[in-house]
Amino acid sequence: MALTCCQSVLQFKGEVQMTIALAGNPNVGKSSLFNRLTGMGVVTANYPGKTVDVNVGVTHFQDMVLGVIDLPGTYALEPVSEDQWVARQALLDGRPDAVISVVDATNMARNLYLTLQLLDLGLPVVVALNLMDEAERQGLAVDPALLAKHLGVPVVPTVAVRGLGLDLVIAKAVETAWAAESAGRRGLRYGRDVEEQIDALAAYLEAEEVTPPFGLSPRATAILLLEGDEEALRWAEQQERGAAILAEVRSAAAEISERHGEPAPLRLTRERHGLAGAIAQAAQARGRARRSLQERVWHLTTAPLTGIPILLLMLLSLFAILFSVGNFLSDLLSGLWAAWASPPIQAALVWILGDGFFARGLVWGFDAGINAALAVGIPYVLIFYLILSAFEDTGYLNAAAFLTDPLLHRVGLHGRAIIPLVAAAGCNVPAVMATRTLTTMRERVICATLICFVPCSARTAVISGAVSRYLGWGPAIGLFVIVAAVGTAAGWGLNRVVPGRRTGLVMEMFPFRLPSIRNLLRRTWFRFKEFVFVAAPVVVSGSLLLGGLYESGLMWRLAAPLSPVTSWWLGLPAVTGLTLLFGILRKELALQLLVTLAMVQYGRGAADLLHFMTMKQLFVYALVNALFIPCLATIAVLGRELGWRTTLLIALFNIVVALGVGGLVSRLWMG
Amino acid sequence: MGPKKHWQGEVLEKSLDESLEALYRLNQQCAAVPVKALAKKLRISRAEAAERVVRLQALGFVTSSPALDLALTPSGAAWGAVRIRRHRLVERLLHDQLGLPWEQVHEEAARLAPAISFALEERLDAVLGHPVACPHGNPIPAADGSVTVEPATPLDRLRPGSKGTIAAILQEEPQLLRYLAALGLFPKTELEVEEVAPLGGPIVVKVGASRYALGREVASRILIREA
Repeated sequence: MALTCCQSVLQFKGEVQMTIALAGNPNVGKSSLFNRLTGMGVVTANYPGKTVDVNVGVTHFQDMVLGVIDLPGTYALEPVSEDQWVARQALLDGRPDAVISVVDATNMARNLYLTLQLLDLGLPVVVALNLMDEAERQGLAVDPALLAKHLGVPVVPTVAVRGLGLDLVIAKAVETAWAAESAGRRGLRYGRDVEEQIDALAAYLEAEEVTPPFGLSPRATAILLLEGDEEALRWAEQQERGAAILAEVRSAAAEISERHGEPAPLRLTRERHGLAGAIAQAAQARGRARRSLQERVWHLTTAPLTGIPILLLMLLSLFAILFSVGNFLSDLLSGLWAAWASPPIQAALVWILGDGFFARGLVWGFDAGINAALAVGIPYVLIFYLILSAFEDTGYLNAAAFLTDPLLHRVGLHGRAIIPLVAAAGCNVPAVMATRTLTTMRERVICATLICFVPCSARTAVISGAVSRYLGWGPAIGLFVIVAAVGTAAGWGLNRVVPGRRTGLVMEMFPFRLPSIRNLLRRTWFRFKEFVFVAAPVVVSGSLLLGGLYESGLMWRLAAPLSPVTSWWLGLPAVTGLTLLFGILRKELALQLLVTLAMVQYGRGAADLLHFMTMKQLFVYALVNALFIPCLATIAVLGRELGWRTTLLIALFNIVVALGVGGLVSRLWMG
Repeated sequence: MGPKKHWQGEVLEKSLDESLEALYRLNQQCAAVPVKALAKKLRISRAEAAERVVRLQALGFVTSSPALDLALTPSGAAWGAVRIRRHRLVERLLHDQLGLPWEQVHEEAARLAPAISFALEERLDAVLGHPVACPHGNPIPAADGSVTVEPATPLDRLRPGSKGTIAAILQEEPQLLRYLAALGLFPKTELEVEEVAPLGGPIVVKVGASRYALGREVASRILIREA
């Protein structure tokens, strides 16, 4: 369910006694904490037009019901990237009663930057010092009590993947939320001259008697203004004496920059990093930093000499597992469906409605349609997500992205897009869903369009059933080469056409970690559930429509208007146009139906396709089917991920390219 | 008097003027600038760039090696330094006094700076309190054209294993600047290059306990003073 973030957070606040937000850097175990705390009723919310989601769930503490908001993992709260914008907005609009700042005990200096920023905003903070086991293994002695003393807020050591320390974190968060209502908290102090300017500006704001934005304190507002925060500056502008306030901000900022020889925002960032580093150092006694096994493995995966073979192996096995296990499960489910579910459904529909148009039309939707959803999505989606989650959680995804970045850069994508693109060769559906790991809408649109050009296992089946069977391996490989060339060209072109700027790559390389099985399964389940709810209805209703067309005989009448395209442009028999249309339901259906319809029209001999199609026609047919509009399930997830307008454009683009290339090949084919 | 007489009274044609400024900026990053790089920076054709270079050579601002790599002569460097000085002073004026945000000052300054006279430049410098850096942290050359910066190499030219300190981040793009700053990548930070992906791929740097992969275009804007 997609609610706008504001709505769901506010709705939530009505239902629960208290809301707690989880904030932290990426990959510090924030999601593990969230998963451990909340049950199955997790709602995903997003702001309109944003690609980053906020997860909202419920937990119980003593006799209270608490709402938990899982913010996107961010390094800071300045709205300079989409995830940071979302995290900040959810904190400022949502006004949680307490914030749990999840801190990686192995990298405190960097992590505490965000904690300090939360404290600067005057939010009631509790620190969950996570990955304590990891810190211990690395020989880092971290003292939570000392950290608490320096930060002036409660600090609870946790190991989120094993659920250690979670009760205490929640208890402290509740305590802090209550305390926050009465007592003001002691703030941390930066360098003296910077503090002087902050204090002076805060005092000025107080004297002006303005109401700070988002219910912030004057100090928090002063810091935001000095940092050059656009939203705070806009707020100041709108005040009655806005010009005077802005002049005050400018003079304070100029004072800071003059004294330190760098702009005030940079100075504040430096001060905050400095303070974070000092606190981290005070709270941890670093033992001898060992070059751990993880580190050595990490170097193996990123050094080109060893990393590229490992990458190829990983991608190959991803593909092989998706292909073999996916196909096996797909056949199994289809077989089971045909044996057990299909006959009773058909019998029941015929029994209720009689053997007529309606019954047969409904059979299309509820028998063939559900079967398609089962066979296309479920086996591939489940397996792929398990593998993708494992890649993500171990940190291997980023190592792979690092190595493939130069190649994908040329088509306007970053290295992270390699996983969806490879997965697409198994099934386009999970591949499209995986574009969510890309950070900008632009990259997602380009990646999703390219995914639709990657022949999935069903399309490969058509290629092998039509081309390699009748024409041999050479032409089949030639067909893949054409498809690859078309895809590359499309990416190259899209990179120039799709609006928006290519962003520079800045990506953290996470140390390798063992993933928690529980998390893997849970995340796979949530993604899978989403697929079932999004794709299944579209596939079933699409099947009903196709069924109606077929059973009413309208289908055959479509053959005539399609014939200019099929007969004249592509040079194919008229009947093939219909089968291409049906391929939308399931790509391999295109071939099955071709054989069936051919037998209806030309008699049993047509089972050998060469009896009524030439080699050229078979090749063109398989090529068009491979490039043509993706299947219904893919269209359903495209609509969910990118919006229906973009989906329509992608589908149109696919059709145009498929027909264009098909027609060209048909004209250039010799012999 | 030195190079001063060259720029004080004379007025250069606009196309040559902007070419000199571009060459000066490129020259700061490497000693020899290929004509191709100049053409790219100014978004003009290679032929057009070569033609301008010939005219600048005739004026004695530029020397060219047989490989067509360009370097500024002392007078060329002085002229370029003045252009940069005026540009960055105007940036400071716009940012500090008029309160224009970071992302706008570069373009506005590019329009205004060519109109600044020597007298106005001196006045600006005094009123702004003789600033040493533009709002983005890049140095403002002194009135005699001298720049007090130590040699720095763009991050994308370092080899795996090299260590250094960030000297400056050459970019008039505040979003990126602030994002990098939040990660701890700002001037005076120490870092180590760990890995360089082949084929123009990203670069892994280690900063404190964190590792980041930076794309080449981002890395090329980070100037490193090697340790």
